[in-house]
Amino acid sequence: MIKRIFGFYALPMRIIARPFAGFYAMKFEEKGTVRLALFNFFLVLLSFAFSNQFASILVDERHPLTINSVSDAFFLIATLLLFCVANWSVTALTDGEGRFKDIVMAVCYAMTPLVLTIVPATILSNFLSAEETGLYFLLMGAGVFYFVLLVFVGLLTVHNYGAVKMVITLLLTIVSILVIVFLLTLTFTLFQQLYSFLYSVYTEIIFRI
Amino acid sequence: MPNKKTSLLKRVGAVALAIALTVGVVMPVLADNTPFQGYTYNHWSALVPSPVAYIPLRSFTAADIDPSLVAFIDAADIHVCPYGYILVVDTGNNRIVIFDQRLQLYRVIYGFYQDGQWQTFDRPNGVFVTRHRELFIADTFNERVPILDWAGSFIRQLETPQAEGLADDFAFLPVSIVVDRGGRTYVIVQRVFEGIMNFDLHGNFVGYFGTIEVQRQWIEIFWRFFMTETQIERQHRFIPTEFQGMALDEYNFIFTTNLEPWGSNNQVMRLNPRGEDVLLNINENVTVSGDQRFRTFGSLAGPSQLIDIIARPGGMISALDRTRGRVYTYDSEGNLLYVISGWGHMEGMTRRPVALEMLGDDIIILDAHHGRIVQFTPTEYGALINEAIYLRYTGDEIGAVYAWRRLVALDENFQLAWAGIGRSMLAEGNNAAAIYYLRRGMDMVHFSIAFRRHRLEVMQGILPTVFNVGTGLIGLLLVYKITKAVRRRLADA
Repeated sequence: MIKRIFGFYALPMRIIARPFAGFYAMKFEEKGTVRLALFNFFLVLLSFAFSNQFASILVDERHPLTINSVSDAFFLIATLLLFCVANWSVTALTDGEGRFKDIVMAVCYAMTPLVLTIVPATILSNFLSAEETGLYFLLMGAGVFYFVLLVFVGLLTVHNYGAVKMVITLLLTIVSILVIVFLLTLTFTLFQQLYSFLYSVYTEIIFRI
Repeated sequence: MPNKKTSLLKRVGAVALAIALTVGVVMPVLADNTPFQGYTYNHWSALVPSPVAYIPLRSFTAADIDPSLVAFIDAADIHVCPYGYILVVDTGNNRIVIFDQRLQLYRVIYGFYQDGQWQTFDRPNGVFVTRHRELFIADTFNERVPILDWAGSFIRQLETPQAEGLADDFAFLPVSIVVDRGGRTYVIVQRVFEGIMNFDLHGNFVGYFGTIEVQRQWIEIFWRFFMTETQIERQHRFIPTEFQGMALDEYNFIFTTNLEPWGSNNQVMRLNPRGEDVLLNINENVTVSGDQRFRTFGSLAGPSQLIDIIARPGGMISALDRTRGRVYTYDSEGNLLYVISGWGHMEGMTRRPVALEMLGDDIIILDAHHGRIVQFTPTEYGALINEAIYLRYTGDEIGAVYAWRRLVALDENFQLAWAGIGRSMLAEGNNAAAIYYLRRGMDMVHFSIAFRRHRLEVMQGILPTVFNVGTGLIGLLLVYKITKAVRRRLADA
């Protein structure tokens, strides 16, 4: 019964238990699906929204009007895309075996610890006083720490890298993220200038007709 | 039992006061014709408009005190002595003007006889009157602090200290003085960055008191790694800012202000007798440094520069901002209560405010530009805050609730009032309600306490049932298993 309902989620759980074997199965035994990976990511977005909505005031002091789960979601999606594209652009040049699909899957499957910790930690936070909030942050921190570890292992497996090469490519990924952001800003400003130029041409014409 | 009686008395008193405040026509409830607007900051450091707490009552110049007095020129300090007289240090005219609260001139001190010699002041900058009616005058450019008795005759003086470690060209330029109950004298000296100079009862230099930590930027430290010796030598030194204002509170702790270049750290310190800063600032989102947001260029731009401070009853402090001429009042926990006055020419505004004092419940500001003293009197809103804070400070949280409730009715956005109601309910033991109010007032410290107590109450209510039912279920399960086993045995047999 339980197996039938949660059977589809077997791979993420396996990745948590045995990261190397799990990611190996994901890529080389074709067990992973992009659909499930994106669903996992969607669960993370939902967890963040849940946390925004229900976290205790003692752990999340932000003003309610400054919290927006939708913009949070867009930010996370953009970050995911940016990281994956940047990593892909670096690893494609450094003999990485992972396709773009594999990178996205690895990162999304690695998010399972977040799915498993954010919601329980949020619920727990409502039963904690200020002195006990350490428990909440410990839980959240553990989730994030394991997530980062899994991303590392996942990309390492997917690209068939050694640890040192992985660290170097991750550093290069950060550099390429900066380059992408810079180029995007440049393009946006350029288009803005172009738009204002065309708009002023338009107004000139309008005033002369 | 006697405790309960007094608290009841206090409550009745508070109710009477609240009624008097509500019904009385003496005080304006909410002022709408002031040249400045009231505001405060909420928990998240966002600006919240609020009613005006103090309104300008009157302003007066030297001529209003006595027609024969020449106008104040560059007056530097104002001091209200323990006996109610007001002293103005008129720097430009090298005199001390003493008058009473009805604006009757009492005396003007131009100088004193020392060993038969007539001595005058040279641009004095500060004055302090002790309980024994001794006048300590910061006679800045004469590099001394003469101590006069109330009649104006010379007693003794503090001079340039003869201590090792002081530079040969050390100039003793006192600008501000405070004398505590034990007779220790604290002097702020211009161009001295080590701290406040501390003199003992006999006028001997004891040492420096209180230090301002230099805030080093990590980028500066980083660059130092790449600098040559000569570059480091030629670089400007990082010295702390000077102390600006001083005030003594009822526990002989000293409040000081100092300039803070970025406006992001506390500008106020509360120094204990060991010279350590013990200022409370519970909500660190809002620092004790005046305005949290300000323009970075243009007119009236830059961080607040708190140049004078006064300690008020109930652990409150008010500090004067030179940049925009505002007066910020904080409670003993570092919460901003209200802001009054501002830069301008209208009645109630100042051009170049230099000093601040309390005259009973009123606040007076000395405006050096006009040579004028502006007096502010509390509105009902301000008086209620003062009363509530005083009651809370003296431990009567429950008595303060009437003032807090009235404040909430006047200004729903005043978070401190919600927190005040919550704290009174916490004191009463009404934890569930306290949680609601403390949450609304964003008082996280007391919210946590109320929450913990409420949690315990709920647990105490639920847990017995849970355990009873649980034990019962386990018992039933045991009985079931045993009977089953017995039956099987019987069937087997």
